[in-house]
Amino acid sequence: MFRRDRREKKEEKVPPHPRQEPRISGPLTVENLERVFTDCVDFAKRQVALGGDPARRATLCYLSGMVKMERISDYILRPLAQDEMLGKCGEAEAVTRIQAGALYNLIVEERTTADQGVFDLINGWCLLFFPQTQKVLSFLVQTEEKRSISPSENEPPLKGPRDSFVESVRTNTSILRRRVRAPGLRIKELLVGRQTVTPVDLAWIEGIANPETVAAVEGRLADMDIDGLISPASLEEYLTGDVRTAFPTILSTERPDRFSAGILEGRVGVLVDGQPMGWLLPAGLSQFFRTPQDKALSWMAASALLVIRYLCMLTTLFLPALYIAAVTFHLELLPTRLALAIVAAKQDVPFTTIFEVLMMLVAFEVIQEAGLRLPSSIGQTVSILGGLVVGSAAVEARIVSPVVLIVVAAAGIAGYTMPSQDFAAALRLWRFAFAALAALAGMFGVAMGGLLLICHLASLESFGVAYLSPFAANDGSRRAVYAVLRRPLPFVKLREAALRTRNRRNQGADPFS
Amino acid sequence: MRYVTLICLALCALLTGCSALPYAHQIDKTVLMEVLGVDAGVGETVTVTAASGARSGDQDPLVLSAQAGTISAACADMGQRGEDFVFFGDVEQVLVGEEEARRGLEPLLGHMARDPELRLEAELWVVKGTEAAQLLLEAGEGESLPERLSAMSRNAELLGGPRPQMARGALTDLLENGATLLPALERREAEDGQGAQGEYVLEAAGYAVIRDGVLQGFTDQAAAFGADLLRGMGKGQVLELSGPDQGYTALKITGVKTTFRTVFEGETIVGLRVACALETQAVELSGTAARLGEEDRLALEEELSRLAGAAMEAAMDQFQSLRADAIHLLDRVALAVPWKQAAMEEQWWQAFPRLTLEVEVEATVARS
Repeated sequence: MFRRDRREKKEEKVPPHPRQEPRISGPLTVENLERVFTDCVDFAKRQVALGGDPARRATLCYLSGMVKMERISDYILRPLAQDEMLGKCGEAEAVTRIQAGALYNLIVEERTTADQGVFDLINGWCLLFFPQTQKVLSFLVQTEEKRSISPSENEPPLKGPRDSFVESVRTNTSILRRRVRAPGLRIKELLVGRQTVTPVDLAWIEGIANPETVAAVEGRLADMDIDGLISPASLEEYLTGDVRTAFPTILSTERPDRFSAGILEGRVGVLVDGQPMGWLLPAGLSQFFRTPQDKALSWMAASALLVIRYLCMLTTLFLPALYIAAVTFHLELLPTRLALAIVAAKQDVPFTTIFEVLMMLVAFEVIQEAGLRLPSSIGQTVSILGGLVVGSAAVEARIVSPVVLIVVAAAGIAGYTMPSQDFAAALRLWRFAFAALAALAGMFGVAMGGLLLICHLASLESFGVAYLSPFAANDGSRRAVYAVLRRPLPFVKLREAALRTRNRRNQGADPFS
Repeated sequence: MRYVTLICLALCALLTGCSALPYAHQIDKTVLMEVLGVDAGVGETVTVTAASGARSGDQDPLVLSAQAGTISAACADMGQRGEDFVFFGDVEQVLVGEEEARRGLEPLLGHMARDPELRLEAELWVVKGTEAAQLLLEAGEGESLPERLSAMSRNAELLGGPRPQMARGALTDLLENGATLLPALERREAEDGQGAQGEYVLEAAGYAVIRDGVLQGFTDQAAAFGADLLRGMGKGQVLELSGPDQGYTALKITGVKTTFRTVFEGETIVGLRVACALETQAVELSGTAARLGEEDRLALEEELSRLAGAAMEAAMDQFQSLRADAIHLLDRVALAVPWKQAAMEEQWWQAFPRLTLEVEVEATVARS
């Protein structure tokens, strides 16, 4: 029975999903537009008399809310009404005059297909139909309502620039241009999503970035045939192409300085309209331990912090598992005084150590999730109530051992030192796996888990770059230490070898030599 | 298919011997034994006594004892008693009764080397004049024996008492040198003014001299001091000397440096010249010596030199009479004449009991 169900499930086929080209059938006319935008309250049209002559009319169409009304009034309607020459000349000449600058609008294009016209309207253009010549001119009059540039909340800057990406891709590209003024900076736009038709911009520096990587990223984006690009995962999962791992293989950042630095390193950047962040790829494991702050501090302090982050990674991954293994299977690992302290703390607690740790790990995640889902003021209250009040009450009531509470809290706090939330989330998942393996087989289980994790990480790659680079797959060069320490910048003369950039030098002669 | 292959490989791994996964024990249902006592039992049997340290709550330290043909069997027997799992991995002190030590330490050291729980880092003590079990059972009535032994071990380093010896060190010494020194403990009736909580006090009693794994005898106090000086140790010890005018002086040793030179007759080693630089500091004075004038100081240095020389000679006499080079003299002497090391090694065991000792002590007393 079970087998038959599985076979049936296997045979269930996904129906075809052909793409209609062109999307909008029919000519580019006002009537056709009215058909396309049937039951759309924001679709608007208006008859305009050219040069004040009521006999010579043109039709203006736009989507209200997407356009800036003042621009239409001042740059299009007013000259149309007041320029007498437009009323006196023929319609074909009027169109030519308008294209030559009779209307003050900066951008004007002639459109011929319904697809172009419809998507122009959606993107904040307005269309001017000339009935006699059947010509259609499109004017960019989009509204510029958007969130102002503000400091990043997820990657707070302590020292250095305080701006962050916003939801408008064009604003984001302008921020990038202001930082990377090289003419070699290329920004290519693709439209992704059948329903959302989201502009996705690809940024790289010609002459530095590996052309194969650029082509691969562009190819992946072009192959994305999805309904909508609404959430970051929509991009990440399709772009990475590897959904068997919890570890991120592309780096996301809200900080333009980090994004720009990545572009300078030879990475390819991706910006998506509607997403206040950028993505950098390829990205290896070591990238997820670095913060923009590292280059704002002295190299010694930054190196120390980097080492601490690596230690915290080990702590958050292994501490609960090691506690379970040591306390349940390998008492000999513990110094006698520590073992006695743990025994004293564990007295009268009714649960086994394994259950205690797993329960507290789950409770930790629940409190964190509850805090995130609520408004920040209530979220803080929940965290305090959950973390302090319930935690201390549970210890006093002998439901959990204080040592377990310390271990789980230490592991959780160590996880918060990870600069990338995606990476921290992957570590949290693996922490559970390690705890379960330790509960099954003690240190043997932890060791097997570690082996499995290393094998898993070694199997990952990001656009041709090994995920464990430079710890592994480094062509024999021993550069792993540079991933754990931040070298003084004057000494970093070459871009990362793994990125296979076209130009590896990134600075001139050493000023200290 | 891929997952099936992985599962099969995992099962194969278990079949290759990796299936010997450890057993889980709840730590709150485990008693951590901290002291192990080994005594000679009836006939060829051995009596093993184990005591836990302080336990949580109002529970007294747990003391278990078992008699069996082997130490392993006795430990296993103890594990079957009581409600909790008995864990020997935290044993830090191992006491050996005098009778058992005279039978030989080989079974105990072998057991410690092979047992997965017992650590070779545990310290060995020989109980002089009584059984280890007696100390453990009496300690179970209130006083914490593990803490007392730990304190003695720490104090030995700070105050220069007989140095504790780890089982690993003892095993290495016996294998390489055939002899070793283990600190000795003595249970004495408490006297007024000793500040003892019970009816007896546990005190260090010099060293037990072990040769070929068997206890040969104990050093007296002077010989123990001498053994420390011969090894260049003893820093921190306080010596009481009688000063002029019926006063007394307490000197704290602040530095010991001992060097050896060999005396050869032809190619045969016949004696040793020991030069010991002993630095002390006067920490307490009484009587006319309280002023510690230059003459008094010189007198003290002379007395100290005599005392130290006599102690070293007494230690050497004892080691020679027991034919036990328990302080690795051969290694120390060989450092002085490395080109003759091979020759010395050949004749050492014949020459050692007859070696003459010329001791020269240069003692200094500094004012505190």
